[in-house]
Amino acid sequence: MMDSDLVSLWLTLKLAGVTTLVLIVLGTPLAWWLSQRSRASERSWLSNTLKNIVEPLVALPIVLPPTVVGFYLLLAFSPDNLPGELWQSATGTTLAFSFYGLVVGSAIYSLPFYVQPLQVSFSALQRELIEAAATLGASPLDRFFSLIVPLCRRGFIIAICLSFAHTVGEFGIVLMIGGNLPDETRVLSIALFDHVEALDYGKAHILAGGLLGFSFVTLFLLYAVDRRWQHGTRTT
Amino acid sequence: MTSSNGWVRRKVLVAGVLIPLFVHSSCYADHLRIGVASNFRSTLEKIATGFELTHNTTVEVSAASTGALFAQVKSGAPFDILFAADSVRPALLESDGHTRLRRTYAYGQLVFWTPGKPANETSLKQYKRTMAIANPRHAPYGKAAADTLKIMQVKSDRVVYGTNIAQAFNFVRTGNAPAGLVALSQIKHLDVPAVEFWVVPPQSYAPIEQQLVVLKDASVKAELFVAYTFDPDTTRLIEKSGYLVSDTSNQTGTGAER
Repeated sequence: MMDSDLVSLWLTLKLAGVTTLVLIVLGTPLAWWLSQRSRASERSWLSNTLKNIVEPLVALPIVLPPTVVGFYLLLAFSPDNLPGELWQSATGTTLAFSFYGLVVGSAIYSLPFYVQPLQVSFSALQRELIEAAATLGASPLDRFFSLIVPLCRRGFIIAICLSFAHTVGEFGIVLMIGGNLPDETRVLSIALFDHVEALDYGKAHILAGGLLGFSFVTLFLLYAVDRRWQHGTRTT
Repeated sequence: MTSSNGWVRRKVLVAGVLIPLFVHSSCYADHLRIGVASNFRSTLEKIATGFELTHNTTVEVSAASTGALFAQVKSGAPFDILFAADSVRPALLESDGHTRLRRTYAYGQLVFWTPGKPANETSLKQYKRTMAIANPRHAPYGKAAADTLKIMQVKSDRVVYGTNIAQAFNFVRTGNAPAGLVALSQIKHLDVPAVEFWVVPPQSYAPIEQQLVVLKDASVKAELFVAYTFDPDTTRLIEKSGYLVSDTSNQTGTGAER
């Protein structure tokens, strides 16, 4: 592996790590909110309708071509338009061609891979258990960290691993908004594309094989974790 | 008996399904498939329209980067002609025996473009902000742009790469990069006001020699299309679209340097 590919490797891990952190902070409450469907009543009608709209919105990146997201981000990041203008006046630089721009793009693109497994996990929780903890005087935060997180650890692990791996595998959006800057936006998938375009198949093989191996191992471990925990919950 | 019967039936089935496919792609002469590098696309579409009218043939144009087209041809894509953005990959295809004709059809021209501001030699040399160019490692216009930045000693604080010249152009067009080194053909296609761009003198970069190849198994009409491309009327159209044609650049000497 060349030095520049090592830089790309580090950048890719950093991007996937930061994106996953952002998703943990923003995606967890979102997944919780989506999972709490109240039974039909006058008061919950609005909240349920809102959830019916937000749920497909969260899932959109699964079906949309990355070029659609990339195109809109490119327009949004432009200093000619409001989001790009605000960012530029705050930081003096553009969101396009920057690491933070990629974090924004990746968080949007990996959002369903974080929210959906977690939402499923939250929905499967027994309400009585949480209500019992509440009557015993546990605060909401306490209930969340000492009851919900351990009970849903399988959902958390799957959500975290999937969003990390999916960000490592991101290509289309980065290609459209990244500008191919070493140490800033040239992630592994872009470096691989460069090698192929430059007909350097030797270097391309190393990166492509590495990404294939990484993705396989990640999914293999995920399935293993999934099997073991399913087994574990059955025996307890 | 039944097995041979089944074999025959299968063979007939295979023939029935596959032969029309082959007939359609190679023997059916009223149809041309052309792969074109993104920078020449709009020009080629105009040429193709003219050819269709005069030769009673349909032309199908697919645009991609020269690298992608090259890889497609290597893996057997059924193109009749390839209009590349460079001369390196056409030469490679020729030496690998994939072609029956190779010829330079145009020389690309590089321009410095700053939307909303006047562009000239001084403004390029003094430019310090983000500059969008095509990737110098594999895009011919990117190589020319990198040469230019070096020779003109431009001290841009950030040089961002588009995969190809079309993407570099879009970085500027969307306002994400305040300036870029792009192709004159794109500028002409979009009717950019003359003050906003400056044609970089060809001495600042190695010529962007764009070659076409007719592929080995191409339709007989492919040579007709090539002849049509070098017809004086078409040549004028290519020049008007922002390219130098081979004759002109040979006269100025830039074409012979390589």
